[in-house]
Amino acid sequence: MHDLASFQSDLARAIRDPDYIPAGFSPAGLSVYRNTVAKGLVDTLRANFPTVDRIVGEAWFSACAHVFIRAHAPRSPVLATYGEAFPDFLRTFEPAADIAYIADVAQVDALWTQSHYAADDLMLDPASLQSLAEDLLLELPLSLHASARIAWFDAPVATLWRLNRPPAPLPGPEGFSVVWRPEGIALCRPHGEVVAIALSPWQFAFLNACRSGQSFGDAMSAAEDQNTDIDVNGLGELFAAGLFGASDFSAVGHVSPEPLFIHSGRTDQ
Amino acid sequence: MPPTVGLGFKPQHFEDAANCLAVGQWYEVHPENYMVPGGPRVAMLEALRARFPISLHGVGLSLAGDASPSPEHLARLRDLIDRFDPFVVSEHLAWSTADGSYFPDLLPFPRTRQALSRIADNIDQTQTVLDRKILIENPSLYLRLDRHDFSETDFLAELVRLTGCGLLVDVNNVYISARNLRFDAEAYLDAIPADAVGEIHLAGHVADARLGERLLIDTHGAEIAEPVWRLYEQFVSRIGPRPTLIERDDNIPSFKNLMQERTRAAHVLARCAATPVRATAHA
Repeated sequence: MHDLASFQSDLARAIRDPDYIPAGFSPAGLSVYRNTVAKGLVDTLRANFPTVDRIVGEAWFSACAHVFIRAHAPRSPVLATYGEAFPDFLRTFEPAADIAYIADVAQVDALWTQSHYAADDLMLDPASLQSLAEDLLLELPLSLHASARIAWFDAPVATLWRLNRPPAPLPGPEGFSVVWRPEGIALCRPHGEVVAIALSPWQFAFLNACRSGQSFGDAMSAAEDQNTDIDVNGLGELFAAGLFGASDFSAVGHVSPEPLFIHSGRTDQ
Repeated sequence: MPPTVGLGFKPQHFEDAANCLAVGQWYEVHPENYMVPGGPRVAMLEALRARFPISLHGVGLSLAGDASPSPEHLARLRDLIDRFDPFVVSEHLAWSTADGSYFPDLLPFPRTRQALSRIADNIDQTQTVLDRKILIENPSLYLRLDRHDFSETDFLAELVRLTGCGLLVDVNNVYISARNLRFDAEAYLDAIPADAVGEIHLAGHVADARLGERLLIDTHGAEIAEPVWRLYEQFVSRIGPRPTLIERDDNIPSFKNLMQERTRAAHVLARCAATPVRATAHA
């Protein structure tokens, strides 16, 4: 039987299963296909998780990636975001148990990739909010920029990620000094390159409320529920980072005496 | 304008590529790398397209698979074509998807009558959705399969006859397959229907680490080998100049090094354009 479908199933199985060699196949020829498929997926995973690769080292990453790709073959020929399941895989990958934060670092790498390829969007100019009366400002629904991604962790993952994300310099012999505390992270791409900032508890609560479509005032209440002092600089930092989108503002044009200024999130070069 | 030589575009070469002043320069990309909502990668391609012709060379349609091409993938490809207006769209005589899993490789199949009919249907569907002719590239082969009903050149000629598609002849792949499966590369190229050829690929290969020259591997990670240059010159002197791509995907050298290979190919095209095309043995 050599119809196309059965031939394909046979070769697909032989590529996945190193112990299976269909009758008549030369092992040397088959190994070229096996190696090409494995190299393609491992290289893609490494490119999408460069911080994990840096922390665990090339050999550990390769060994881990070979286990992952066997369990998580891509479903699409578009590999730009391949490895969405990698952070969760690391949470249960026995050899990673000693590096508890590695799955969280992988999650930030995955968020970086999402932000990098997200739809182009308009960035809200923070100066445009300054002209608003306070009651209008409090009612204003803030939406996150299409490239904005946020996460909260029980460990200083934002700091660990920033220190290890290539092309960050390698640590000296004294290593890194990191204050061990919970930390959030926000990533976005307002002008071509992805930028990341570490978040305090109230900053994360504020952004999380905005992500679910709440108004400026309700997001402030959510932030105040964190029982910390909210400072203007910390709020300004979120706006300056470009975490908010301006695309929805045509719908609330009536609250603004003048059209809101917007920056294009697109790179022209 | 007569056919010219282009380069596979690598993002790390963006500055040099965007500012290249070579006459007739064009760039080829894998469309799968640009099937994302937005961001700098797509912006780079837009900037290149503003100055240069672009060719889209797909790896994901799995045309030699026993299934219709994915409608989602065809729709994404159509979107890119509408946006970037490529002068050539090409794919491979190979498969890469089975049972819903994608294998990042170009996999072989027995060239049976059943396969011919299935693949012709797949090319038909593709050309209908894309509303244009596509070129089909010969793969590099590593497995000797029995039960072929056709030689590869006869199979390609049948696809051209049945679907009106064109051919992309990868001379490096011909050389690799000929060495690995022990056939005559010159005879293979002589059997290619000249009128169907819309593009030529040139790339480098390496010998297998264990088996050496008995098994050549299509890595796109080395300079184009001398025997491949000789086959290219013979082929172009038979069929006439065609758009030619310098393809490099691994172990990427400087832009300048790729331009040196481009210059060499451009000289071949110029020589062949200056002399009348040799009569074909298989007219």
